[in-house]
Amino acid sequence: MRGREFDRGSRGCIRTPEPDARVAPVDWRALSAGPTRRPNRLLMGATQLCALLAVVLYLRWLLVPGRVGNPILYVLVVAAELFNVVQAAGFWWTCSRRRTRGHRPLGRRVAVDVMIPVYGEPVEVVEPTLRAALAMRGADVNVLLLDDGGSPRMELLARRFGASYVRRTVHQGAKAGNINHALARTRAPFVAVFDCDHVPDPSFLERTLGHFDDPEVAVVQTPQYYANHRTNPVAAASWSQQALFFGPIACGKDAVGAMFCCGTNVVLRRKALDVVGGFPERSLTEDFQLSIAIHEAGWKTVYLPEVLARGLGPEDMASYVGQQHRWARGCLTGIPRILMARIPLRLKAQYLLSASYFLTGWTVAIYVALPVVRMLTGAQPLAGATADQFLLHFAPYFGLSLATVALAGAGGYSFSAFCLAAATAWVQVHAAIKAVMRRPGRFVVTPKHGSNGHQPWAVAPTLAAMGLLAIASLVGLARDQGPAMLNNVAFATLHFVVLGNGARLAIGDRKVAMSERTFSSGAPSGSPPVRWVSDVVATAAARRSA
Amino acid sequence: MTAPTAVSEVADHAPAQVVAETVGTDRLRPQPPPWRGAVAAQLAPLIAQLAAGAGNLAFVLASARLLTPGEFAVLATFVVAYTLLHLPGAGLAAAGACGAERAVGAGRVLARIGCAVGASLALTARPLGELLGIPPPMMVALAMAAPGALLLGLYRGATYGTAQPRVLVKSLLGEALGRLVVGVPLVVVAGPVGGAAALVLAGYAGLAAALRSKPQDAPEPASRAKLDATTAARESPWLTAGAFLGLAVVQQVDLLIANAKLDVSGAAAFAVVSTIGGLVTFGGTTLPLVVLAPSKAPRAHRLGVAVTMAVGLTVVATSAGWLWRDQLVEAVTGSVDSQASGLVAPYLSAMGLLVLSRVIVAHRNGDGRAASSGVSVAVALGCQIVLLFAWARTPGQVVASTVVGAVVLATVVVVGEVIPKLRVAIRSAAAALSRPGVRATALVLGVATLVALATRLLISRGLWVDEAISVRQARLPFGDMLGELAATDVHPPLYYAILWASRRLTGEGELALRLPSVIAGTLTVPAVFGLAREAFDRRTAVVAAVFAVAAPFLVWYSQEARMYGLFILLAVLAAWAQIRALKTGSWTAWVMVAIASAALVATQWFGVTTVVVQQVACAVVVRRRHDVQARAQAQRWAVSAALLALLLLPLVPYLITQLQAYSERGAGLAFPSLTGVDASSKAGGISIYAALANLIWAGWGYHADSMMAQIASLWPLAMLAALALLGRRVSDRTRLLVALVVLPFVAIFLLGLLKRDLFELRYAAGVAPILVVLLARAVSTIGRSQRALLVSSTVVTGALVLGLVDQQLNGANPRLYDFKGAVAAIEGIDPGGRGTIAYGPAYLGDVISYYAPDRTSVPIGALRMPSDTSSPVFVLVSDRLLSDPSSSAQIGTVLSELESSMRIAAKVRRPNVTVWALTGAGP
Repeated sequence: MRGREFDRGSRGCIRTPEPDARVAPVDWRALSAGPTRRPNRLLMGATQLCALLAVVLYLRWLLVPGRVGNPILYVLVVAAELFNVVQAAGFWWTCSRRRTRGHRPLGRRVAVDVMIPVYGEPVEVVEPTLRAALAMRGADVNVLLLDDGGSPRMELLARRFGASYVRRTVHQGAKAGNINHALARTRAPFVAVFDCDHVPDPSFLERTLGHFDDPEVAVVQTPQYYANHRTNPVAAASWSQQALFFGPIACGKDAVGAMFCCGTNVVLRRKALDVVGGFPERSLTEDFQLSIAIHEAGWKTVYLPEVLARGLGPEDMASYVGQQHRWARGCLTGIPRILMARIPLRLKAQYLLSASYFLTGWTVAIYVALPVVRMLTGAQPLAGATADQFLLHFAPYFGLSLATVALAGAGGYSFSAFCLAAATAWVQVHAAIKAVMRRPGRFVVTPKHGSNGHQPWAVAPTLAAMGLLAIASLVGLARDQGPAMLNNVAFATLHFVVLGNGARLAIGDRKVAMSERTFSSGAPSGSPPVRWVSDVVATAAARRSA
Repeated sequence: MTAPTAVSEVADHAPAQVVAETVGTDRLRPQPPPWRGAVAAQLAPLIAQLAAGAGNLAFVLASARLLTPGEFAVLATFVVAYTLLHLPGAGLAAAGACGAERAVGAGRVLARIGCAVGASLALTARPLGELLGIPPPMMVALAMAAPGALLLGLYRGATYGTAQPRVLVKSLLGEALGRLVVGVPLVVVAGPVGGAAALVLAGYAGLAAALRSKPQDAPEPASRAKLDATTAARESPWLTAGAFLGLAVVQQVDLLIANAKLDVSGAAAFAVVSTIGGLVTFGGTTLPLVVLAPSKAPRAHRLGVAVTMAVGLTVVATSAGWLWRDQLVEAVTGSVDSQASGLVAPYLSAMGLLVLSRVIVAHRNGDGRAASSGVSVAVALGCQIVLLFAWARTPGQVVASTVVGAVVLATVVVVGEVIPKLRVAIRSAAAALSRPGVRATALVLGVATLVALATRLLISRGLWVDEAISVRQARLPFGDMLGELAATDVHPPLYYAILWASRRLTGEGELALRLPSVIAGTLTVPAVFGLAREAFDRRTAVVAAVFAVAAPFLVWYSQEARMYGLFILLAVLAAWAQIRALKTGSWTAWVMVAIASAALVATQWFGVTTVVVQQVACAVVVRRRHDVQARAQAQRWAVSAALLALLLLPLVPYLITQLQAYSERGAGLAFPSLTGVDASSKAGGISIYAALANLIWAGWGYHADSMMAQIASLWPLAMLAALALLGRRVSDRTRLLVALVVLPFVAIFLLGLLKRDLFELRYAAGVAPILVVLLARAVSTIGRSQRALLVSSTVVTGALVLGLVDQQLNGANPRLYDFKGAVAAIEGIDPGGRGTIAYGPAYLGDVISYYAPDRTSVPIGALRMPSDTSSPVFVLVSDRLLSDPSSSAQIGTVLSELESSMRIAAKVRRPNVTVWALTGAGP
């Protein structure tokens, strides 16, 4: 009877256990959103060229002394626009350098240590990963379950499947420390790392190890695929961001030689790890820092754009916010390291683009504030310009930037993803402040189960901004109904809708989409080139992993 | 105690048997009309009630004649007290009508309560009688009535609940006959005391008859189970009783408060009004009880019949109260009271609403919503009492308070009843819209086409310049017309040929001249449906057809005697044929592509842009195909293109002639354009706002410049739309349609940069219907739920209708030139037609000639100063001309010269037209 009650869903009907999303077929390819359509490179190149021209024309119009209205607002707008232009240019540059690698067989059989770090995750989540890791072909696999949580059930699981169980007595360095601890106790020439929710394909090693024929290659990274993107709206929006990164951006970075380790679904050469001293333990984004060190030591990285492992994306707003906050903190604190790194300029530029992406939240704040200030105080950043002129110069830039993202992602980057990024932009502001204040960060494992409840606190600043936009619009309309005011009200409406569409994922009902058996990955990945309205999008240069 | 359980158990299991039995017998015998049972259930009690009412009225009238006024007043006071004593009976009647055994079983308790009340009245007869103005013997009679007062209501109600109409009829008629047969002699013999005694006796007679409907006489449980039992009401009879008691209080409370607050004359006047109003509530007493009672007739039918009767009763009573107000008052009081007469109709309407509310409350209680009914009644009663106490100082204010209470009650209960039905209707409509069936689609399309025809026939404006020019050209012999077109016009000949023929068939009336455009515009609706169906799906097609009906731009050019209506239709047909050809590869479709495209170009030269886009799209699609059909498709496209070229060939010499004439004329008009470009121009050039304004026109119609500036300022919402498109897959058909909108529009925009007056939205009118299809596609895919589809399509349709109304009726529409109104104003000033009209610009000649064919009219430049100033001169100019500095100066000069010998008698302004009327200086 108790069992039956347990099985009853919230609507009172008996629910059969949902299948694990990770067993569903993959419906994504790195350079196309659909099974058939591939981005037209000629069209994309032409669009990028036009977009570049539009940017030049826009800045030429904007950066004129007579254009200064309120000096403070003008400086803020120009700073935001320049930041976004740099991000956009970086995105176009990255996407224009596309490299697609295929399968390369390895001529010899090698040993691989497969490491699965865990820290308090449910056993039923780890079990499929462990089983799949043991079933990988193409190498002599030694699977290690690195349990930082000291769970007896996890030990039992490892023994049941015949995997090595590694437990630390001194817990330091979080995930990086856990891996380093295991590295000191193993000796295979290659190391594969999987987050505990990422189920590898049996051919994972067969497909990746061949790239180590080049003795300079230290890392072979594969995409982090969110298998639950079809069943959960947060995961869907999050995956839409991921898809853009692991599609055109990662392929572009690979062509530049700047692809970095994303912490999971990756194979590393032990020799390189030994050279750089293993994973950096003082960073929240140990994989990102590791990549810098590897590149600094002269090693190469490779990106193989094939889905060879299936994981789970964040299923609720709290998980997503936590994940984004950790990445933002880690990347922003890594900027000085990038600046000081002795790596080629192109690599430094790529790293800087990726890390500085997490400053985008500031531009969102500026753009949201502008109509509010205008409607409440009448102050505006620009002078000597009519709305007509602004539209004439801004519209091509906006439209073409948007088009480049749509074309580069082949339609994979969605409005929901954009809204989710905008609604959680406050996280980046918060993380930047923390980073500047040098407050110590903690490596917090993302919650493993999505919550069905409302999580308004996860978007509280967003909701406050929406309230401010609504009040300012009402006040503005009460004062004036002329075209200028309506223009600002329309901008406020635009921001309101975008923020609201993102925030609803924290407030709306996710029961239907929620899978009981799925959980947050906690795996590093990155967010897409989310930019705010005025400049949108094209900044995708910025993806990072953590 | 076991009987109810048994009934309940049987009732729970009976429906299946009933269905089985019904199905078995239904096949054998014809079914009666579905409403028959419900009507029959209402008729018998209603007739009996009305007969009883007539009997009571006869008794009152007889008493009024037989007694002295003072005696009658005493009897009337007794009647009021008797009625108040029976007030709880109204609630008990409802409880009894539910068929609740619990209610009927409470008879003994009620009898004891009645006895207690009676004893109290008897004991306090003297002091209470003095207070009320009722003699002690009559108070004793009142006390004797008390034991039966509650039971009469309960058991009479039970006759409904046990489905024994005959018993009810006997009870009602028995009481009325008792009053008449026994009461009249007693009044004669004993005066008002006899009348009071008769009332009490008659009441007991009615009770005796009603007592025959005791539960043991009710139908057997098995047969009762077949009835549409109001189970919910039966389980909570006292809630129902409470609600109906509240209703009775709403009906009576005003009389009590009026007596307490008003002066004597005011109270008397209101008493008359209340008496007349009581007739309505009395007549409607039975309606809700039948709804409450179990019956074989479905409750929905009973509700429908009861509501119909209640509404009919309200209308008839209010009308009668308005038409015969004096007679009604006179019938009650014997004299005319104007104060009371004026209040009869509103009060009767309030009573009618109360009857309607009682019916709906009965229905709600039957559904188990007794508590909400109680709240509704309480709210209404609260409003009424607050108004009566705090505000009412005159009979009129008392009536108004009751009207407010009745309106509040009716609104609350009707809205509460309608909203769930509305929800169901919305859900059904959303489902139908989401997946329209073939029949529903055909129906919607047929209705949409008819509405489109009606909309396009509602023409609110006269001919404007271009139309009048077309009329003049169409008056010429066909060959001459073609020659004239080649030499002086800039458009191809197809539409003119159609107009030429239609003018000869239908004449030169405004509607007749516009008929070809009206027909084309109407046919555009099914054509848009066809295009959307071909490109997308039936759902999009239905939405697109609805949008096309109300799309302001499409309506505007469907009402203009120019080629643009036909241009729009042919653009849709060409796109439809092309998509069909590319989908199916059929020869018919490819031939249709050629014919429609050729006709498009032959109607408007700018149709070439659409044709070019289509042909390029064909080339791309054909090139992309690599299947077995690719070669055949390429061949058919080639044949189609060749046919198109062949069809266009005869137009080439015509075009060359026109181009030569055009260049010789100086390639442009000597006057400012009349097409309303203020919102779309910037210092004589084209701005980005110009493009925006034109796009808004295409979608939402022509509006005042100030409104266009406001709408254009909302462009950030377009950014939102662009962002919302992120991640959406776009099909090749959508791409084609987008290209058919964007590229022709861009073409005229670029041409406009070279030559300003070529940037005219109408030259790209073919984009508007495609835009409608794309809009329908966006709406039909914007939300995944049926409700989102319904809401979004309703919102867009509403916005289109608003735009249409503003476009058609707002005089600030920059495209509206009211030459007809201006000439009519001239005719009003100078009916004899002696005056001269001087018009500007010169090309207004045709439209002036059309509306004032018998009047002398000349261009302003050709006006000679009149030697005889006795005839007026009218200077009629287009406002666009006034906005041009040089033209404005010319007009100022002319007016100054005229004013040297004449004076400006009037200045008439019509939309975009101004007329100065100049007459002789006079004394």
